[in-house]
Amino acid sequence: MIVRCDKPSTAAWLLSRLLLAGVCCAALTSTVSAADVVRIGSKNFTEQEILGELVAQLIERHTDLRVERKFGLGGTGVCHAALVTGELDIYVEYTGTALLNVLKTDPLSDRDEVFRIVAKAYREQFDLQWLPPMGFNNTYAITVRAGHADEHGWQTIGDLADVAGQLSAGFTAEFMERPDGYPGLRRAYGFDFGQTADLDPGLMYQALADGQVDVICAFATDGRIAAYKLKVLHDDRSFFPPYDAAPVIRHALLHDHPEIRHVLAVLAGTIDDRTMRRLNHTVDELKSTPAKVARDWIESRGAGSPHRTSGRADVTIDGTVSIWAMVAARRAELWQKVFEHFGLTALAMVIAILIGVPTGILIHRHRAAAPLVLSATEIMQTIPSLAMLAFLFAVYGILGATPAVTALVLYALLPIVVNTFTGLKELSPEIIEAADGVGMSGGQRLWMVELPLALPIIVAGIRTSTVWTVGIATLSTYIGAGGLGDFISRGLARNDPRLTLLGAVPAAVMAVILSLAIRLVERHLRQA
Amino acid sequence: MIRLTEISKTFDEGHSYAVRDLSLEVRDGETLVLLGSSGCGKTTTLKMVNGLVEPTSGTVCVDGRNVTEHDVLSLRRAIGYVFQGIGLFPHMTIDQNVAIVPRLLGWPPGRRTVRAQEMLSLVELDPATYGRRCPRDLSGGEQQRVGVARALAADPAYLLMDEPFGALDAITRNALQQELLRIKRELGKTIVFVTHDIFEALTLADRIAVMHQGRLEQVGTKREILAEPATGFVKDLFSKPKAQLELLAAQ
Repeated sequence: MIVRCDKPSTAAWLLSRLLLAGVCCAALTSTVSAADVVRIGSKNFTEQEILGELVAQLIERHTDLRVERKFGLGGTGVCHAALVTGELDIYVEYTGTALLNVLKTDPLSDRDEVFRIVAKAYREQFDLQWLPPMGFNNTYAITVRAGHADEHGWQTIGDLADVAGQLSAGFTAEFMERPDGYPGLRRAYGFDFGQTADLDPGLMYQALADGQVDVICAFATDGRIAAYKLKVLHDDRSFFPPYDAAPVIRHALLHDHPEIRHVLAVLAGTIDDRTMRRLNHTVDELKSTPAKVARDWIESRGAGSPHRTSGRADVTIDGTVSIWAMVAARRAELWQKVFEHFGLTALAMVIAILIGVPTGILIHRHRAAAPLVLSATEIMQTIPSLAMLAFLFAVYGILGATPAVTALVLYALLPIVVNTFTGLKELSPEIIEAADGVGMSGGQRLWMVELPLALPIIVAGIRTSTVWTVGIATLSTYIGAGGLGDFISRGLARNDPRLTLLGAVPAAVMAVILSLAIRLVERHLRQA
Repeated sequence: MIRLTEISKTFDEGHSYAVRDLSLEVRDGETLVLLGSSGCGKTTTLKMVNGLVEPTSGTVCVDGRNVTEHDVLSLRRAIGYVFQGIGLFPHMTIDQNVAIVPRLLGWPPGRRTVRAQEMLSLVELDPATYGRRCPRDLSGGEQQRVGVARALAADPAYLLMDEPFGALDAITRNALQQELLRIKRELGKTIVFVTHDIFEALTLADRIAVMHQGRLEQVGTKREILAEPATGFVKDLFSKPKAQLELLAAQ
C-alpha cells in the first residue's frame, strides 16, 4: 500500500467537497419546524394517502397554515407515537384500530359505542381529539377469489373452517400481529390456515388474483376487490370491530387554530363505503394520484374555491402513461427526492466517518478493545433494517431524518472502522519506527504519517459504506424521512411498477456514481 | 558525549538478553562503529541512545544527563538517525522528508525549504531535480543520501546510523562511505555507526566497539584492535581478511 507523495492533499480536498455538498443537500431538504406548520401523516397504503391529501388540501385551501406531509409511515405504531410526541399534528385513524391496537381493550361491535370510547380515551390519555367519522367503515375483509368461492359455495368466514388447512393466506405484516388480525381471527373461528405469508398491502390483491395465495385480509374499501373479481366473506361471528375513519388531531393545535375543526367539518359523514372504494380504485387501477383524487373530490363537493394551491409536485395524473412520460411529469419531484436521498446518505456518511475513523484509530492504539468493538459493529450490521428503523423511532420518539440517519450511520460504521483499523495495522513497521525516530509525538505520527498512508484503505471502506447507505436509505421512507424510497413504497402500495422504478433506478444510479467518484479519489491516492 | 553504563536489555523478561552489562563511551567528534554479526545487540544498543528502546537496567547519558531526564521527543529531534530500511516517508516529497525534523521543531516553512535544499546539496543531490520527487522515484543510493540529509537537517550534534548502507551495492556503498567521511570532516559530528561489515568499520571508524551475543568484546582504535585483539572472538573476526586489513590499516 503506497500513497503518492504529492497527491493526498488534492484527494482529501475532493472528498471533503463531495461530503460538504451532501451536507448542504441535507440542510436544504431538512424539514423546518416553524410554529405555523401543520404536519400531516399517513400510513403506507393508498387510502391513507388519499385521506391525508384530503386533510392537507382542505387546510391549505382554507387557512394560512403551511402543511407538511409525512405520508407512507410504517404502520399504526409509528403514526400514533408520532402524534403523541408532537412529531405529527394530524392523521386519519380507524376506530377499531385505535380500540384494539392503541388502547388495547376488548373488541366491541357497536360503531357509535366504539367511537365514544375511543374519543374519550384519546382525549384523556393522549390529549388528542377525534373529529367526526367520515362515514365509511374500512373493516378488514377476509377475501377469496370469487370463482374459488363459487366452486366451494363459500359465503362466510366460518365456511372455510373445514378446508383452511389446505389454504394459503397472504396477510399484511400488521394483520399478522394485531389482536384484531390473524391471532384474534384464529381464536374467534378456531382454525388455522395451512400457510401464511407476510405481504405488502399493495401486493396482496394481485397475489390473490394470480392464485399465489387463496385468502387475503383485504380492506373493505379497496377498489381492487371488485376489479380483480374477489369475494369478501361475511364475518359471521362479528369478530372484526367497526373501523370508522376519522381525523385525529393534537388538542394543542386545535386550541391554537380552532378554524381547523371547521375546515375539516366537510369530511364528516360525507364519504361512504362506495365513495371510498371509488377513490381508492381511481388511484390503484386508473393510476391517478392521491393528490389529484383528493383535489377532484374537494372540488366536486364545491368545498370552496382554492385560494392557495398545493405546493406539492405530486398533483400529476399518472394515468397509464409510459414511464418516460411519468419521469417528465414528475421531474421536479424526482429531483427533490434525489436531493433528499443524497442528503440523507451524505449526512449519514459524514457522521459515520467522524465516528468510524476515530474508533478505528482507538482500537488500533488499544488493541485489546479491537475484538469487542469489531464484533459490536458486526452485530449492528446483522440487525434487519426495518427493525432498526422501528427501534430507533421508538428510542427517539420522532419521525424523519434523525432516526433514519442514525440507522444509516450504524450500518455504515463497520467498513469504516474495519478499514481504518486494518489500514493502520498493516503499515510498515519501518515507517512507524522512522516516525518515532525523528521525534514525532503520537499525535504527529498519526496525522503526518499513519493516516495519510492508511487513507486509500480507509477511503475504500468509505466507498463500501456509501454504496450500502444509498441502498438502505430507501427504507427511510417508512419513518417519514423522505428520499427515493418514497417512490418505491408508493409504487408498492399502489402496485405501480413505474413508481417503484422511479425510486429504484435513481437510487441505483446514485450508488454507482458515488462509488465511481470515490473510486477516483482512491485511485488518485494510490500509486499504480 | 554519550555514555552507556552497564546497560542490559531483555525482551523476554530475563530469559535471554539482547544486550548485557554493556558500558561504552562515545567521545565528542569521534566516529564510533558498533561492529558485530546480526543479532549481537548492536542495533538495540543504538536504539537505547535516543530512547527508541528503553534499557532494562543501566543508564544512558547524553551530554551528561540521563536519557530518562530528557524529554524524549526533544532528545530524538536533537539526534540525527539514519535507518536501516532507509525509512523515508513515501507520501512526502524529498524536500518534505528532509525538512521533517525542522518542521517538528516549528521552523517557519521558508527556512525549512532553504535548509532542505542545503542538505540535499550537501549529500550531492541537485535540490532542483530531486526536491519535489517522491522517494520511490529514487534509486536506493539516492534514497539513503536523502536519509542522511534528513538526519542532518536540524544540525544535530549526534548522528546515529543503523547499517545505513547495508542494502546497497558495493560501488554505491563505497561512494556513500566516502561522502560520509567528507561530511564528517566538514561538519564534525559525533557519529555512532552500526555495521556488520569489517571493511566498512575500518573505513569509517575512529574507534571500533566489537559486540558478540549482547556483550562488548573490545573497544579501541583500529590499530589497537588489529594489533591486540582482547578476545578469541575479536581475533577470529579479523584474522581471515588479515592481509587486506593490514593494508587498509596502514593507510
